[in-house]
Amino acid sequence: MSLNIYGSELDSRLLIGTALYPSPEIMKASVIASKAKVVTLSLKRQSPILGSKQGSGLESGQGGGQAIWQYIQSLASEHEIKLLPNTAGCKTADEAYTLAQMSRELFGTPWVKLEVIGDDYNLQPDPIELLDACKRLIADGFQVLPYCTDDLVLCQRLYDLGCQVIMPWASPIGTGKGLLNPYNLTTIRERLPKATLIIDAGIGKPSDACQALELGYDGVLLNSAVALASDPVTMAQAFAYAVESGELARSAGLMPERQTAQPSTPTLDTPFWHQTT
Amino acid sequence: MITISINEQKYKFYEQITLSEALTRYFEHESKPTVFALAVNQNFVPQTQYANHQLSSGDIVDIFSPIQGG
Repeated sequence: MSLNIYGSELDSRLLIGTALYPSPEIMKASVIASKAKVVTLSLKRQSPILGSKQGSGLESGQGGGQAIWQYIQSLASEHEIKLLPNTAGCKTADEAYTLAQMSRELFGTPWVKLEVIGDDYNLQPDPIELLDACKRLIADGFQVLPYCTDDLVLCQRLYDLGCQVIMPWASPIGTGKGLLNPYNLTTIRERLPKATLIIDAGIGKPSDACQALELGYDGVLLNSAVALASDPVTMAQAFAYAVESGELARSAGLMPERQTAQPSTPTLDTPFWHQTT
Repeated sequence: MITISINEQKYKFYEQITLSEALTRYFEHESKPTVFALAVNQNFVPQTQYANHQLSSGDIVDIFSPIQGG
């Protein structure tokens, strides 16, 4: 019943982001309600304006900074939640490699959620730069969790490089469109039975998360679906139940689909059965 | 005199300076994050090397600190 990430056994299959919440307090309460044992976070260059000692409201709000870092630290220490730094905003392997090195020093973890974006419109990962970055990071001792498209061959290449965890998207980041191509995702699951597969990005509803687990995925990483809900804390709880439900359904074994109807009530010896044929 | 860019702001120094010394001067004017990491010319420099890393004119120092992320 646990999720294995590079040898760490986690008792939740949900990974959750820390961005876009109405406040740091709601972020913290949502993470706790989700029961997630991994949170994602990022690094940002200190703004010259926000960083000025003369400035007021220093590093508050969505800009993040000290306040949000303190909340994330308290989550990690009080709730045994692991940190998964990302390389959001990187467009080349060079940028991602540098950012990952800084993250490792700062957060003290070899884990990195590798994002190398190739298209600004739909934030689609660049497979060429992603593979290049992956190769360099693994050679440098990182444990890489690459965010990628639902392309089977790309996932195979990432696995061959040494990625024990692979994170194909359900749909583009922040769209909430759910699993756009269950066929592709199912094929990846079937062809990479030993990889830890986590759906990352595009989850909009708890039923999407449940579907991912039903397809055999090991976990789900999401952010917007909770943070942008009218009530993020309750939505986080809903996702916790959805992931648990999907996992139970998978382990129970789903019935096979049929093309034609099959009566669930036995028709033999029911009144008038012979008249209906 | 050398010119160093730190987080997109230009600083002039009259003498050769190490990364460690430049940071000390920088944080006299700017708020110091509780934790940070940095890159010089987009290459990561570990904390253990700040004192020995000699900066050259035109170097670009970027200081990063944690933020929320998805």
